Amino acid sequence: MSQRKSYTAIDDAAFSWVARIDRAPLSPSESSELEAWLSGDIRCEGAFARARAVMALAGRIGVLSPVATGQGAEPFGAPVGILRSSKPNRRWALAAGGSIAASLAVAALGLQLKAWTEAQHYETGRGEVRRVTLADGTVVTLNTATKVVVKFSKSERNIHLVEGEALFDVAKNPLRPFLVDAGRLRVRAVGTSFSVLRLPSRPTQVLVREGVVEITESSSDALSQPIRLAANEQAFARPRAPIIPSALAPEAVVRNLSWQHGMLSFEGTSLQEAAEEFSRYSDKQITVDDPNVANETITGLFSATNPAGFAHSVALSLNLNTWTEGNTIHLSR
Amino acid sequence: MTGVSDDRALWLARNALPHEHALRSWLTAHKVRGIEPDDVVQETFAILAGLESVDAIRHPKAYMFKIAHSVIMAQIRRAQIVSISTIDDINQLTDEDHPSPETEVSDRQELQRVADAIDNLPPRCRDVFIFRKLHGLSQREVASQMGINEGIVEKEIYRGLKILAAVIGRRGKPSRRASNLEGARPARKRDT
Repeated sequence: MSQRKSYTAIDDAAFSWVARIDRAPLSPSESSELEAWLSGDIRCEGAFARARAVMALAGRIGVLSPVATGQGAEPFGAPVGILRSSKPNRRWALAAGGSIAASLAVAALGLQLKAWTEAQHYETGRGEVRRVTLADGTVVTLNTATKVVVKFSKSERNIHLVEGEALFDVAKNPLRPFLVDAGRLRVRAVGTSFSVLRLPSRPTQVLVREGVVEITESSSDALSQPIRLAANEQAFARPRAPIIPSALAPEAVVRNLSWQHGMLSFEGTSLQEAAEEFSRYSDKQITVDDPNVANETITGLFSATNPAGFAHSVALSLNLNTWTEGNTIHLSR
Repeated sequence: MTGVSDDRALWLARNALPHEHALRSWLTAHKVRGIEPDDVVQETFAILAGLESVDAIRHPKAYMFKIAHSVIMAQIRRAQIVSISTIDDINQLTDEDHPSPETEVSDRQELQRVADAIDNLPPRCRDVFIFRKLHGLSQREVASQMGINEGIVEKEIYRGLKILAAVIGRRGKPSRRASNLEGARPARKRDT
């Protein structure tokens, strides 16, 4: 007991190990040094566990926003950085090409200073897909019949998705969160790529292609836990149901977003659903008269603005008849 | 990861750190000769970290106090400083201080407290934590973002952790003991 280490010495060493581990993986010799230190005294183990807990606790603020949006850090020049989950101590794989840099973002900084305050409106007609580059470098792709209002301030980038569907390829800027308001849902991102769909007839959908976003319900108070959505995950706001993220295969994400190229991609989709999807893109409506036919499933890539072409190829493959009557395309046995 | 899994670290963050202050007050109020509260806290964390599973723990605060109690008992036995009155005191104490619902701080309040603590760190340290923890940048990315070198970022993380631990675990009071005084301190009279 004569050489007993002091509480503070142990604690200091524990914090310094945890800070070191947070920086980069330990080398083999550092690992064995840590092992040796830990096994020397049970209090070392405890102090280390406690230090790791403090680190994990600090990581939990990733789910709170006040620090971020309040009087947080000063702007440090180029808005850079990659939003990743702030789950504590996860070893991140840096996305390829996602390192610091972004000359684009540097250029955006100059623009930031002027004219952030006025709101800008963008909209698309039926069947139209439009790509808009915002002043911060973010690219918004508006799908058919979509209305978006963009309002940037010094501390936030606000997007109001009034109706429709849009894909956001967000320019990275950790100091200026990117917020999409879609009625019941608010989606928060720093730099990522995600889409939001808001239609009266469907549950609002958020789909993440890259990075991480946080979803909160607009009705909830500021401190309620946001739902984290990572790449290849989606969530729906169904009436009176909790919002639960679900995973999607990367191919399914691509399929979901094929509209940005003017295409609709179906895989095992019922004819009924496909017909409804087409109705978003043109005034021509596809009507499937027979419920049995409506439940047939189809797979394939189709031009979003050519419902007649779609009906024609479906008729061929399912051996159906198709005819047009005014703005309605009929499909039946 | 050596020592503690990420999951366990997070469990400790949510279930042990919020009660550390209460545990320390309890230990200080019922100080046993030759036993340092700080040592007991460290050992308590070691035991919580080493448990095979924490799934069955329904009342983390009570559980934590129970472990601390057993740590004290073990130390008393080890150090052979048994005195009947000490044992009596300690046994008596376990029934006190059971967490009542109103003393449990909600998870949300606790998070807010952490956020406030981070916001109150020294400026550069706070910025490092915001980039690293809120925005999930790596230490290297933080360094490049802030135009400082990586060693400084690591140092700020170390400094911040220390301050946060003090704020969360001791409600702002830094460790009072700076030197190697174990066992050399006279028992303090306490009033109950």
